This record gives sequence, C-alpha cells and structure tokens, in this order.
Amino acid sequence: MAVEATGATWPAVLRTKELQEKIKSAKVLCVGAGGIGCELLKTLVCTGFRNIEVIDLDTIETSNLNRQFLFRKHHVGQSKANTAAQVVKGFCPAASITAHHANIKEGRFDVDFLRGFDIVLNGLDNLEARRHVNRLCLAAERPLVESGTAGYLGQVTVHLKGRTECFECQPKPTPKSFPICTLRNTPDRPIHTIVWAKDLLFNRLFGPPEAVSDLDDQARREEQQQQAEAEAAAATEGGDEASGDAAADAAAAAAATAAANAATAEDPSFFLRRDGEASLDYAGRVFERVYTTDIESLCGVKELWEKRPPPKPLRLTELLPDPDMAAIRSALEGAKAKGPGGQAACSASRALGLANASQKWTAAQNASVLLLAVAMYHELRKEEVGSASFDKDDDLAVDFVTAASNLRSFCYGIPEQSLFDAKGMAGNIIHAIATTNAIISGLIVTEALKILAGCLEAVRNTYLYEFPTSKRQLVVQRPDPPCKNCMVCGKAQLTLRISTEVATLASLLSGVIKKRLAVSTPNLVCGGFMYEEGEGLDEDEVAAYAALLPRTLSALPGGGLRHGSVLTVQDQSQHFGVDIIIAHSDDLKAEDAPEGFLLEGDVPAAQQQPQEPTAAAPAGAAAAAAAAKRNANEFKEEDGVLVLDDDDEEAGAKPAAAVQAPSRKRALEDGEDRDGTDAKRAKGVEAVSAAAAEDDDDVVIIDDD
Amino acid sequence: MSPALDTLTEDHAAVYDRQLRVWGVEVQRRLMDAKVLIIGLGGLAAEIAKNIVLAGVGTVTLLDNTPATSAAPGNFLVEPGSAAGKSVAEACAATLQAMNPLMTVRVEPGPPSTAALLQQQQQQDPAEATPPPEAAASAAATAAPAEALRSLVSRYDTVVACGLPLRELAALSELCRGLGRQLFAGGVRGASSFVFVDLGPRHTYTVKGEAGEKVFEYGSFRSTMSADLAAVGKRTHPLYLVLRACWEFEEAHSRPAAGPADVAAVRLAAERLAAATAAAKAGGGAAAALLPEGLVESFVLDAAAPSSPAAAEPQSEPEAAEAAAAAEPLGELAPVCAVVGGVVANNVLRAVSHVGPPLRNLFCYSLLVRDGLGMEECFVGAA
Repeated sequence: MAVEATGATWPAVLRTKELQEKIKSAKVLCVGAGGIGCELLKTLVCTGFRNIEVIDLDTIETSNLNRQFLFRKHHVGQSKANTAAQVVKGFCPAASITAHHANIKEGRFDVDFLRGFDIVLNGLDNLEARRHVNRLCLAAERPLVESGTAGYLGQVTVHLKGRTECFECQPKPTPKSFPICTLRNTPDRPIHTIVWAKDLLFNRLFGPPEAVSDLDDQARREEQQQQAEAEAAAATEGGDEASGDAAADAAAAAAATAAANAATAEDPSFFLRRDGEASLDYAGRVFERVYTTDIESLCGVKELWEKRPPPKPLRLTELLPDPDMAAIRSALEGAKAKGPGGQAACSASRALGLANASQKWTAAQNASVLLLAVAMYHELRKEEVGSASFDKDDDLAVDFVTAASNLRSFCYGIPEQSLFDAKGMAGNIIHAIATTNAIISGLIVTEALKILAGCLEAVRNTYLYEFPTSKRQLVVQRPDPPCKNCMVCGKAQLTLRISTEVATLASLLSGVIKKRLAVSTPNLVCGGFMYEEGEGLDEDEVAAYAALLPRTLSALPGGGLRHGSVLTVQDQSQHFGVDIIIAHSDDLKAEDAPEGFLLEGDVPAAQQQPQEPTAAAPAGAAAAAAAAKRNANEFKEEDGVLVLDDDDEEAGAKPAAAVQAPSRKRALEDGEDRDGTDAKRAKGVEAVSAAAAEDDDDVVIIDDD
Repeated sequence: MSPALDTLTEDHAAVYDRQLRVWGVEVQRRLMDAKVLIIGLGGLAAEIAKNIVLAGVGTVTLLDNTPATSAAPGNFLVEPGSAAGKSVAEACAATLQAMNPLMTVRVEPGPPSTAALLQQQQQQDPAEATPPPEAAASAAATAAPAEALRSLVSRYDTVVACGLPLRELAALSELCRGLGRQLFAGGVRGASSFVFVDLGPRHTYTVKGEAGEKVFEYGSFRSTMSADLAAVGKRTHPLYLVLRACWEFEEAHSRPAAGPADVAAVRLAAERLAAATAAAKAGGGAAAALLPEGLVESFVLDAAAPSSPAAAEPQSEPEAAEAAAAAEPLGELAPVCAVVGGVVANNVLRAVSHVGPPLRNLFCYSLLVRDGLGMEECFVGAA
C-alpha cells in the first residue's frame, strides 16, 4: 500500500471499524529499538498494531536502563532488537514482532524489503542512517515518520513522497570538527584537549596505526593549504598595505604550522612500548614526551606565540614525587592481583581512590591516573593495544582521556574537567530521559494512524518543549511541501570546492561522498573515469579501483577531476544519484573548510558555522525566548561541544541528526492562527528565530537512540 | 553539577548517568527520597508509573485490587502469562520492580477508588435527610475505609490518581489539601485527556540558573471547576468546559455521566457554560469554537472501557458489527496515554524535587482539538 488519501476525516475516523481493521493488519517497520524504539513498540501494540518488524544493531548497555524500559540488568550485552521483541510479546502475546539484530544499511534491507511495509517509523540515533532510510522510503514510496529527542526536547516529522518535505529537504547541521593544527598546537578550549586526547593520543598509544595516519594526512593538507594561502597572498602583493599584511600573516601562519609540525614530528614507533620496558616506565616516557619535550619544542616555535601565551611544560618528577609513584605502583600491583576481570573491573581512577566522578582532579592526580591507565592497558588488556578504539562505556578509556586532556589543559591554561563532564564531552553523550521518549512515541503513533486512515491532510510535524510556551507544551505545524531543489527528492546540483591537486580519491570518498552525502555504496562516473564499490565486483576490478584511491583528483584516469568537471555520484542501494560540479580551489582556509573542502548548493548537511548544542524554542514570542534561554542553559556545556551523537552509538564519529526546528516560519497550524494577533505572533516568532539564527542557536539538536 | 556525585552508589551513577546529565545529582537525591502513591492503574497510570520508576523515585506504591485478568487493555505492565491470581497492583509491581531494582515498589490493598471519602461526606452532611436508625453503625462502617485512605495518603508526599469519577477526584483533592500532600489526578477518555494538579496553597521551587525560591499557589479541584468564566477566552482549551460540564452533571446526579443517554445533558451544560464565557461576549463564532464537534460525545462515551475483543467477535451480521463499532467506547487511546503520561511524570518529578515550575494547574490534550493541542491552563487566581 502506497500513500493514498481517503475521504475519511480525522479524528472521527478513529471510531471506524475500517481503521481498526487496518491497524490490526498493517505492517509496520520500526527502525531502532533504543530510547524511542522501546516506547514506540509498546505504544504500537497497545494501540492494536500486530505486525511489526524492528531493526537495531546495538546491544544493551547499563546506561540504557534508565529509559529503555523493556530492558533489565540481566539483558546487558544482548541484542536490543531481539530483547525488545521478546519482552513486548510477554505483555502482548497477540503481537507478531520480527526482530533483526542488524544494521539498516545492510543490502538485504533494500527497496523491495521496504515495499513489504505500509509505514516506516524511525527511532534512530544518527544522521547517516536517517538519511539512508529517507532515501529508501522515497524509492519504495512508503510513508516515513521520523523522530528525535534530546533531554526534554523532541520532535516528530512526517515525510510523504511528493506531498511533504523529505527528511533531507532542509539542511542538517554537521558535527563540528576542529582544524588539526589547533588541536595539536594551539588548543584554547576544553573540547580541543579532549578531542586531542581521544582522537590523537589515545589512538597513538592504543589504536590501530591507520587511525593516526589519517590525521597526519589531514595535518599535512592543512599545512599545504596554509602555504598556498601565503603564496596567493604574496602574489597579490605590491598593492595596498593590507594585502601585504595579509600575505605576511598567511606566510607566518604557514611557517608556524610547518615549524610546529616539524618540531613535534612524530615517529610512531616512539610511542610503542619497548621490549623489556616496565609498563610504568613506558607510561612515564610517554608523559615526558607529550607534556614536557613536545610542549618545549612548541614553545620554541615563536611564530605561534606572538598573539597568545605559550604553553607551560609539565615535569613528571615535580608532579609526582616518589611517594606518589609508590602509590601508583601499589595500585597497579593491586589491579594485577585482581586479574584482568574484563572492562567492567578496570578503572585507574577508582584504583587510586578517586571515586567522586564530579570532583575535578589535581594536576598530580591527573598525572597518576594517566600513568596508571597506560600501565593497566599494557598489564591487563595487552591484547587490545594496537587495535583499541575509544568507547565512552569503557571506564579505563574514559580515565585515560580525562587525565590526558586535563594535563594538556594545565599546560595551556584551559579549565580542566571532571571525569563525569569529560566523559560527556568525549562520548558526545546526549542527555536522555524516559518521559520525552514516551511522549514522542505517542506522537509518532498518532501520525501513523492518520497516514493509515488516509487522512493525509491531517498529518503534522510536532515539536515538544521543556516548558509550555504561550501555554503550549506541543507545537504543531503543517509540513512544508517538498523542496524543488532538494538533492534527494528534487533536482539539484552541487558544487564542490576542493584542491584537485591535493585531495585524493580516498579523501573524496570518505569526506565528501560517504560522510557528507551519506552514500553507502558509491558509484562514480566522470568522462573516462569510473569507480565502483559494492558486491559483485571481480577481484581485479577491486584491485584496480583500490589502486586509484591514493591518486589526487587531477591525476585520475580520463583526464582527472578538474575545475569544471561534472562528477555523477550514484548509490544503487539507496536509489540515489546526484551530480557534483568540481571547482578547483587551492586557497581554502582551514577555519572555513576544516575538512579540506566546501560543498555548496542545497546540500542537506553543510552548515559551516560552529554549532552549539543549544536549542531555541521557536514558538511564541517573549515566552518562547525565555524558554529558549532555559533550554539553551539546559544544553550548554561550558564549551560548545557539539553534543550530537546519542550515547548508544559506537565511536561517536558518525554525525547524528540535529534537526532544525521549524525555521521557515509559517503561522502555527492549530486552526486558530489566522487572525491578526496570530500573524503578529508569527512575526514575533520569525524575529526570535532570526535572532537565534545569528547565534547559531536555532538548532534543536535532537537525538536519542 | 554539584560535587555530590559520590553520594550516589556506583550502581546509581551507572544506571542514572544519562538523566543525571539532565537534572543533576541534587534532583536525583530528592527523587530517591520521594514517596508517591498511585491510585488506579489503567493505561495512563501505567505510563506515569513506568516513567517515575525509571527516574528513580524512592518509593512508588500501587493501589488497585482489580483482578489482573481484567486489567485495562492499555496497561502494558501486566503480563497476561503471569497475571492469574494477582491483582492489577501486584502484577504491575512485579514488572516495575524488575524495571528498576534500585528503588522500592509496594502494593496496598484496596480498590482503585476514593468512594469511601464521598460516603463519609454524605454521612457528615447535615443537610442530608434524617438518618435512619442504623445510621450510627453504617457511619462507623464507612468511616473505617475513609480513615484508612486518609492514613494511607498521609504516608506519601504525592498522590497520582487516574480514572476517578470527578466527585471522587474532588474529595481526594480536599483530603490532600488538608494533609498537605501533592495531587496529580486525571484521566484519558478516548482521544482526550485532562490532568488536574494541586500542589497546595504554597508550592515552593527553584529554577536552574535563577536565584531565590519561587512560589506557586494552587487551588482545589472544586475551585478550579467554579473559576470565573470570564477567564475563558477563545484560546482556552475546549476540554476545560467539557470537563466542567461533566462535573456539574456529576454533582447534580451523584453519578458520572456515562453512555449515550447522558450526552445531551452534558452538551447542554457545556453550551450554557460556553455562553457565559468571555469568548461568547466577544461575539462571532468564538463560543462555538470552544466546543468542537464530537468532543462532548467522545468525552462522555469513551469514559467507559472498550468491551473485550472476544465479546465483540460473535457479531454475525456486518451491519450490526458496524453499528456496534460506532457506539463502542474507545477507552484510553494508547498514544494519548503515552503523551500525557510523559507530561505528567515530568511534572511529578518537578513537584517532588521542588526544582522547575510544575504545571499550573490543568493540562488538557485532545486529538479532537486543533491537531492535538497540548495546553496548560491556569484557573488559580492571577497568573
């Protein structure tokens, strides 16, 4: 059944036998069995739905239990989808629930699979998957009800092909990334040292080698860009003084970065533990390298410190006199005596008696935790060294990142963080509570009922606020029609500004095609150049394509991707395609394009301003502004870290949905907003949201697994 | 974040991690000290109970001796497989306790009702007809349950009551006011729901990021049902007038309006009330907009639970089945329970922790009103 309008009127249709029958026979796909998913499954079966399939790739964590009410302590570690299905059948034996412990992006969940359902309901925790499902629903012509929550805020939107906006008609903010040179050389905010500790130092010590080399590539790219900027600025010299200054500045920046990179040039082997080296000696050697000699070398790069104070090196012997070292040694012996005991038993801070996670540690305590955490990895979890990845639910990893980032913060005079707060920032943890997910599940099912009944005029997007604004807790809005220029459901072309001399095919694929465009199995064509991924390729094809990956764009076959080339990108599995016009640019600034490119056009992703994890309520006038402020306070970490990913997502690297609140304001659609007062109020709304937009505050970041 | 995280055990800190990031340690500690009594466990109460148990309210006690085999269809806390021989409260308690072993779920014996308070009122009412000779014995008999209820309520900070007839709700409101206990009382009828909140004459609370203590004054249910109609404008949620019409019906007939026969009387009362509002004085179609089509009918008819599907099945003639379906009460619609249960639980948490402004003093939600409008309405003095 595709979407069909019937003559039925909402909500009188609720009383009809036809709708009751449709509810009983409808086939529903729930994508996600986490915070929203658990509530949704419950609300669906209590409404009378009997044929449900649920997909979720996650397993249950202890921190889920405060809201994913289908799960118990003894379920920790088990599949969310399977457990949820089994528990729901416990209280509703009449329901047929099929569980898939799998990723929705797997090939078997293709367009044909989606066509087997009457309606698709999303309870997802990341933007990539949301966009994937959106494309599948468009291709399969199935209605999609999309949802998200964060803290007290939530929203439900309805996407009907050809009738309402698709999920990607409106741009979605992408997570903030930071220039590597800032992280490496000139951090000035807590998030900088936390990202450095998690993405650079943690990977350097415990992660796979490629995790670090990607970042090294990015650093080199930034250096090249800065040099290019300097040359470009120099080329225009001879004119006014300002451009001379600009050239000098750009040259200085480039020189500083180059010098800094040279000063701290990292031989990866230095960070490996040597044969016969005691684990604590190794930890001490790493400490002295990272917090003493590297900082001293950086201090020597005078260009970096003309406008900011240089960092201060730390000395291990000053921080940790012998008695402290003895305490660490005995803590390590104690931990070893207890045996490995898995991740759960492994915490350096608790072994040192630092039980209060909200208490900030002293410099000496941070140093102790760092040394002990490194030693514990090597003594108790040796097999993970060289392949570990940061996991916010791994206490030892969180200990390490907290201590490593705080020590760096001490060097740079940046406020340090408690373990609790550092964990939140490093893990991109979304605040999550049961009530919001329950409310959102009710709103999703309400929209699903309207769609099933064929009351397509009655569908609404709904936004939930923490406090009533103008007495309203829920703000209801008629969905906009599809956007003609949408890259996904309309006709649009994109322009990619990138250095075709520097960027490689590999970086184009990972940074632009997969990350920004959310394509999962790309097929690229441009003149004589072709590249494919996916199943069904011969081995020699795979090898030939792999050989192209390190090439720069201009050096690709068929004359290369150059200024003015039109690259056709397709994804068969998503039934998605888009043309990208390449615009060569070798003067992209690191701060404008931290990822090394700019994607322009109606891209449902590319908001380049720094996003703050704040939320502004768009409804009402003064009251809304007050609520927005309250909401903003609720969300604002001291440091604008982009809290985007849900807590239950692995790695935190994937972008999550940060869904824009209704910014193109229409009068609130509650049936009474057609008189003068409401027009005025709508204007007020616009003013509020415009003001908010300037502060990058008009983004309701909304996500719970 | 107050530096008191170490006052929680590791278990608490691990399970409550995500919500601690929303409301902090101090609120969590207050929740863990709170005692909430829930009277009547239908679909709405199940939602509220689940939400406050997950949040970690220290003690949640359930009162509903209905056999679990007759549990409301929307009560997802009752597992049919293990319901035999248990009361609804017992069956729900088992599920809730498993959901959060870090707090305590208790069961109290007794019906999901506060009717005992009404009987006692009647006994005490001097305007009643001359008591028959056996009145003394009868008064003692009804005083005992009323006294038991009074003593029960006095042991809790907050009472949540769902699905009570409005006169029982009013009596409970007076009892809670007298004892200084917080009350959340409401119900879902089909696609509509109301929740009445009474946190006493002086509820104090703080607001995150703002200095000082704030105060809200609440009114009793009776005073909310007799508020000046001049305060009812075209933006007031229509459910208020319908609720008030049902209240007047109950007062006049000493029984709740239920079934098709009562619809006309309630509609008449609602229309009379609408005509006396500020909206009506403003003229135009404003008063008519206060009573959207079908709202009175649904609110009266859907108060009853739907008959079980098994009972409805033997309908042989399709037309008869059709007619039966049309007259069939919807009971509590699950999506409405989920929405309102979430809103109520948020406000219970605010009320018991004295952090954040709770609802003042009525929440109305209906799919029959303007696309499913959820609104706070205030009928206590000046805003």
